[in-house]
Amino acid sequence: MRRGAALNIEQAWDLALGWYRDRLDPDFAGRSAGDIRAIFSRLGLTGPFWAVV
Amino acid sequence: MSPLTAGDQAVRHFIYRHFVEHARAPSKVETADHFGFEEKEAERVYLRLHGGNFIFLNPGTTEIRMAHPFSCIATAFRVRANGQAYFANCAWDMFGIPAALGMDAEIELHCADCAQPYRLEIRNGRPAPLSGLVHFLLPFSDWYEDLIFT
Repeated sequence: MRRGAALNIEQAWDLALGWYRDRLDPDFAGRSAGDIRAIFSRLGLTGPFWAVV
Repeated sequence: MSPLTAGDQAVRHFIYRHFVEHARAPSKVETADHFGFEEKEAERVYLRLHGGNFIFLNPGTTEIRMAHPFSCIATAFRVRANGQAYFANCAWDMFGIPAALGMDAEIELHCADCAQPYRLEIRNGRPAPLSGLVHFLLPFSDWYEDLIFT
């Protein structure tokens, strides 16, 4: 059975900020794998669950 | 993620601005009319944006289901901000909407575990109250396999 991962409210908000704060920018062009790794890493989201392959 | 053409980028931005202003996605006709091209061209752009994970179409259609974090269908996560009431795709996206808007918000949700209603706020750029958890069932590597399930 999958257990998943749980973030507290502050972590989830900070992840949302990192992920979505530029979504309405006219020039938003997606994220590279490196960008995504950096967002996760800044928030301490590491390990296989957060691995970007 | 493949790079967008300038035209596709303009349509992507139009879809998001439409969501912000109207709390819904534009129809293909609205998009076509805005840019002065045929509905079929709007469909082709939607499919390319879907292919790049910039939007998500209802399976087997060219109707927009998600422009993350916004949802085109009613969900358990309602976000009031900007004088609008938006639906978010999931518990994480309920934070994604005020994050994208850069605005404070009131969030009404039903807990996915116990179905109890909850209210959260983003005030002065921070969430409150801080009790509760956001659960991610799938690892990141699986998120885009089935976005509706994710």
